[in-house]
Amino acid sequence: MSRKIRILISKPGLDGHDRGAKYIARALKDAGYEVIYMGIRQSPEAIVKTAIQEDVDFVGLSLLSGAHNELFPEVVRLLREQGANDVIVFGGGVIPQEDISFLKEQGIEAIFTPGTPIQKVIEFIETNKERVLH
Amino acid sequence: MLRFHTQTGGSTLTAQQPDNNIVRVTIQTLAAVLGGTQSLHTNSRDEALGLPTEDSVRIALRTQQIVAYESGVTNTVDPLAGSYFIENLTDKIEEEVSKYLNKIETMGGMVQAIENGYVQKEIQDAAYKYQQEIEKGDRVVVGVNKFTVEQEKPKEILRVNPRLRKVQSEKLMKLRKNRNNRETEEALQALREGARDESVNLMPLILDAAKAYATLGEICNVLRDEFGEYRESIVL
Amino acid sequence: MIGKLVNGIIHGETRSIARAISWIENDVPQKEELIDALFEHTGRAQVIGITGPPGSGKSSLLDRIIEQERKRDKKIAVLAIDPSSPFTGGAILGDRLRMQKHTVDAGVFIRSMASRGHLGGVAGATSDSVKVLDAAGFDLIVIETIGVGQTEIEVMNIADLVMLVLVPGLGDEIQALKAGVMEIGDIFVVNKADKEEANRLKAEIEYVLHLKSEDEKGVKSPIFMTSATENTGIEELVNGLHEYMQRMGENGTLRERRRRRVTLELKKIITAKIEAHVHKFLETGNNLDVWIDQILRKKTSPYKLINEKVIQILKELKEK
Repeated sequence: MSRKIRILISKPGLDGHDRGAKYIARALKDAGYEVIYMGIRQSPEAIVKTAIQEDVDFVGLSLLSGAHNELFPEVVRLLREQGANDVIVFGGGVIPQEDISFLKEQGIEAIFTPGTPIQKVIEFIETNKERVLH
Repeated sequence: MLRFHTQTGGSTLTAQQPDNNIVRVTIQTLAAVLGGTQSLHTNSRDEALGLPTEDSVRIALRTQQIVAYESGVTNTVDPLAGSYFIENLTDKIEEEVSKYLNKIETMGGMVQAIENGYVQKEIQDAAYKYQQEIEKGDRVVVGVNKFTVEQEKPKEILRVNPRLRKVQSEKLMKLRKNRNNRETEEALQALREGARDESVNLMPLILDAAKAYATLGEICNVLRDEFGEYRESIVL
Repeated sequence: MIGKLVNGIIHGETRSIARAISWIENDVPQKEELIDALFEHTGRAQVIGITGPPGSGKSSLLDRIIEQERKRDKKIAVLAIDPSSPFTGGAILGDRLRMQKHTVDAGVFIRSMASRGHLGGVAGATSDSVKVLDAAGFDLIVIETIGVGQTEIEVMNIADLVMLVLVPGLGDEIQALKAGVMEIGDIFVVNKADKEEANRLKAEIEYVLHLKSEDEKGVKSPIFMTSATENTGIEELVNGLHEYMQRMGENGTLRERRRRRVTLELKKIITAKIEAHVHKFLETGNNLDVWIDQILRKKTSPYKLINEKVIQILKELKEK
């Protein structure tokens, strides 16, 4: 038996800044994870449908437009509504410090702001992956 | 003359010690002007944190004005002319650019190269390498991987008033009610027909549609219907 | 747990289907029980493979095929295979991006699959995953292979029919045709047919097909000209696909293929089972170390030793 961690990386909303999301996707691949890359301009509905079909363990959302307080929680809400309670959601992008506690309350478990070393993201996945092993 | 526009590099902005970005933008502005740019966009210091505040935007504009009116670099056409080092770098850039252009040409042109994902791949590889260099400390970014501070003071960040969305959609509803909808429809239909004919210049038709109070969304939807939507070839 | 999962799958519930495929991919101990429980519900779906070199537009073409089949109210599942890195085991799975307009359509299920070191253009989990999708009631299951060329023959052993997608202008098409890729395809697609060299490529394929000895039942392989971006030739392709499938059913080809598929699958399972037992046998006790010493000290020779030991291993396995 060989368990692989699967991670969905996507950008909800309308901004097209995908340099960070692509970097994360590629770096996570190099760290040995299976990354489903959905790219820019995705709706929360499409992200959640994809997460469920792909049976991912983590969903990583990137957003630089300022709409994170609306779109990130919506992804978590739809995941839970559709019974995907075990999927862990994290986010990143241009997100002001004072929004982080609100996003965490809404079920986004970690927020990685600009300048975060990729190792921090990998540590987050490694420390939380036990919870999603099934 | 080669006319070109320059924008300072968004990827060089840091969220850490954001006032340092003013200095980065200044250096890049100076470089662009010394290079002879005809048009310039300067980024604001806080764009790695959120949408820029009014103050930040003003500083970005003032940066251009200081370079233009105070520095003196605009007093002569090409202040760096004759500098051995600059000329050498320019030659190198030219050489590398020619290599790229030739390569793209053999692929069947730029459109083909984009469809193949070649261009995106080159950009992503460069971005990946750049980021890896920062993470390994091979490339110094002041305030990020060197000369950092423990506790940064809170920054003022622009908050978009959520009420604006409502205001805007009300405005839009009003516009749609009050405009001459027949005229709008006709202008959009003309645009649609123009889009079907490759020999037609669409710009005047787009202007007509805008003058008939068609919204940006409506104009784009017509073009989306006719041309479809671009989907990037993802190569990671 | 398995009962609930099986029930979810046969009712076409997305989460159950997706979880079952993960079980197969991760090779969990309950996998066999799951597949056996689903077995009576399988055998209804049509399974097609789609293969072709990188850049031939397989995913975009598939996107159009899904569109056509949805107009005909067919339920479709896609398994899109991408390579895993041989160094890190990681993978970027991005094929579904080209089919994303179907994401929110309940009649379409798309799953990306990393090859996880499996050779042959598909993943080790592909074959069993097809069974899950079949039991879940999909009318059509499409396997999109990695697309790196000649070694991609395994899809022939999983699909009822294989579609080979080629495009003009890759430069090495004639080479590819000569190299035996052609044997994989039942039907051929010249995609990006709006390009000028498309007709020349078609002529080349016709020539190679002409050289190819009459196939199983003398069914002629059709060639379709499509453009996924311009959305042309798709309806003809989908019609042709179904006609071809029907003919394969009528002349017995399909039956023979399915028989061959079961044959290969059984052989594979038997070999894997015995291999696992052998590994276990070798790992327990110090048998192997003793033998190695004997060989190194020239007490016996490798074949002589093993021929004696094989009987002993089989006997011990039987006693267990």
